[in-house]
Amino acid sequence: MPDHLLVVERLRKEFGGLIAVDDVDFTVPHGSIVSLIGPNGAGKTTFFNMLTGVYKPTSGRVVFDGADVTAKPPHAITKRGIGRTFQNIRLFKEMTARENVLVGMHTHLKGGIVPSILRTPRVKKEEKEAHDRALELLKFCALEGREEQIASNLSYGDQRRLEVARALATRPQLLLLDEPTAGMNPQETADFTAFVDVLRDRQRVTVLLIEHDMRVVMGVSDRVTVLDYGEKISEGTPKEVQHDPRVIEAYLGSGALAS
Amino acid sequence: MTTASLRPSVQLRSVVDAWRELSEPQRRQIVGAIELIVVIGAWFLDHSLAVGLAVLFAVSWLRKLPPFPWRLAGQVGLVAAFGIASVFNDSLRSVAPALAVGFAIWWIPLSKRLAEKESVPPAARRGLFVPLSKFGLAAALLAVAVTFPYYAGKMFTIPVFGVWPDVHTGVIMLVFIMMALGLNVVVGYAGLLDLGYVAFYAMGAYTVAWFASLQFAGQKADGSPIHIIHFGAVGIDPKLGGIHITIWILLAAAGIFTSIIGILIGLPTLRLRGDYLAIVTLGFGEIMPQVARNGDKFFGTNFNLTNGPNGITPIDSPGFGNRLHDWTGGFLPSNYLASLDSDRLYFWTALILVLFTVFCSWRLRDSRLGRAWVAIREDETAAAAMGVPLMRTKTWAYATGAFFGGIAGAYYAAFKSATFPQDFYLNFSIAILIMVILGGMGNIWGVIFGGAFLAYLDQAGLANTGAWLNDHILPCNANATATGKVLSHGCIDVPALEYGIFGVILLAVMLFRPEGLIPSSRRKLEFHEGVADEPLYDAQHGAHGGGA
Repeated sequence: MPDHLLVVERLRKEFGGLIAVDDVDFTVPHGSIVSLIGPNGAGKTTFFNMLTGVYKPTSGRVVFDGADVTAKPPHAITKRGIGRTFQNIRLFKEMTARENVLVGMHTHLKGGIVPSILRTPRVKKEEKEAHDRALELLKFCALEGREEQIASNLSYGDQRRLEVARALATRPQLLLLDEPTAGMNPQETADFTAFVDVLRDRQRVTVLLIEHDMRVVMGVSDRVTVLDYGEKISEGTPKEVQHDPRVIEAYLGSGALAS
Repeated sequence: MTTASLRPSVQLRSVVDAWRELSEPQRRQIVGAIELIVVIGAWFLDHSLAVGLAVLFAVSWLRKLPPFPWRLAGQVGLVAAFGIASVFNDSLRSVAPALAVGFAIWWIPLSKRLAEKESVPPAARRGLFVPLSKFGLAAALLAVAVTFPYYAGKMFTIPVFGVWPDVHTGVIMLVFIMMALGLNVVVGYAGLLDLGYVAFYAMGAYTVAWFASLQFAGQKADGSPIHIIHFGAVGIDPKLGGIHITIWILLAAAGIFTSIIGILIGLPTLRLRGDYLAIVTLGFGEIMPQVARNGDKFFGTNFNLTNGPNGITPIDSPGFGNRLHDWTGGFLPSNYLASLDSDRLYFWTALILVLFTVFCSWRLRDSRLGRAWVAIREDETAAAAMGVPLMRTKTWAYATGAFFGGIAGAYYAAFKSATFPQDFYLNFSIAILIMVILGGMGNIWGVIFGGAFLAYLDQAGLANTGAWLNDHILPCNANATATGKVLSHGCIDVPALEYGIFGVILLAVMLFRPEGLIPSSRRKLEFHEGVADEPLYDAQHGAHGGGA
């Protein structure tokens, strides 16, 4: 079956009386860049948080790489191969860039407490390899020369890319980017979308992108899904979605069509 | 003159303005004059205070000089001056060597900067400066610590704080440092506020008390003991009842046993976050002394587990036995208590335990687990999203902290040869926490300093300060009998105010230097910029309904 890396079936989340995500079906094919868009408050981040185990869905199923991961704890889902970034940057601010990336490698390192204290040859070798890999990832994310800087001292764009490097360190098959271009100017946004394309090809990851700015995703996405008030209102190629009247209505209001 | 200009705030401002207009040399002249007046004034109050202030001011002046050759010359001159002065005044004898050692240690970190200078020949850089700067500071401080029993009794009087700590106080300081380092793993590294750390100390203390005392001797009808289990204990009559296992095994056993208890306590509590965790650990910290106090009839049975409020005493002396003593040519002592210099032996043993703790803390800090702890401290949600299992990682922090707390407690009980329920009250947990906060959470050097300083205050410093205040400042009538009041006959009972003073220290640190006196570079940042840690994850998975 796995021509789809991620299959989401009738996923639903209620906060009290509010239905944040309303029975959404959703698939992500292998090796693609899929975008999830929608106006502010459409339930995109809630959807994301259910995929990564931060929220438990009210009902529905999340199948990743052939295995049911619904409501598994976040670290277990990360271990299976879903890496993510956060909408409002959540780096470990007082750690260096390199250390941030090393934390991302946590599940792939073995060093237990006693071997770490004794610093056995195995731990030494493992740490050395992890450091080398961290430097490599930082270089890939254009953070060369800033490895030893404290994360909060990095510029905004660098912090965004460090989040990606940290997520890549978890060796994801599927990378979830939550509004990665929020707060960027048009030039930075363009650079970042180009970077996402390179990311897919060079790191061989499937990318799921959340955006509320439609223009960002049009160039880079293979498929686009549109959410509004928790419901999926449209799905298809960027072009199809762009001309869907329901999408235009959701973004511009019902008056937009009449004019 | 208008009335406005008489207001104190306005006058103060004009003074500040005048100060700002002065040139740098003028300011120095004024500061120097004020310092001179202060030293002369202090001389009439107390000679040692005047000497102390003079040293302090002289050192601060030397710091303004270029390091080479003027600062070095100044330091040599200062040492020489005190050397000459000690010929005329016996009480100054130890000042010159102490200053010399202090200056020598002071130069070590500076040598790193010197090593980076182009003007220093490369050979000198490789040969001296680099190794000095890398391990020099630690090695020098270690040397000062190891030799402590030899010079402790010969040191000068510290102004106000009184006599230099003796070796006995030194042992207690080291035990507290070890406990503070253990708590530092929990609070400083992983950011889990634990207000019940004393529980681990108690577990360690009772482990030693059970297995190295008469506690479980039992009694036959003729009065002879039922249980006699001996293993490696020294200085014990073979017919003596109870369990007597050598302290060395018990230290390890206490550490392991306590970390298991830590895991058991951690499993239900570590699901909580922040304040909730603090409150639950506070509860455990309160349960422990109550169990100890009422454990003479454990859960209504007649089984005497803890001997209740009377505590368990005496506890066997540590020692290596005659065979090891002879085999090592007398290097390893056979029995600590039987030794003439038992405090020295306890001191060096405690120093080894502290070094062990420092080594483990230091190695863990840069390990996979240490990084995960810091990640959890800074942002739990992000840490979980990066694959860090929260419960397991936090439980490891708890177990590690408990391990060191247990060993420290066990050793302290063996040192005091007793353990009582009243040792384990809440104020003890708080005192250890203040040590960690005062020094600088997460920083090994800082925690060592905080532990040593507060333990010293607790053991001797406050009493000495009180005596000094009563002698020199207060109109205290020394012949008056003690009334048990904090203030009576113009005298003040400073040790009675201990926790008030600790509270003031804590307040002052949190207000003026929240990152601690010797902060880790990370913590410093955190306190000055704040950390946004939204409890997103808890909203769904936490055991409590609060959070998001």
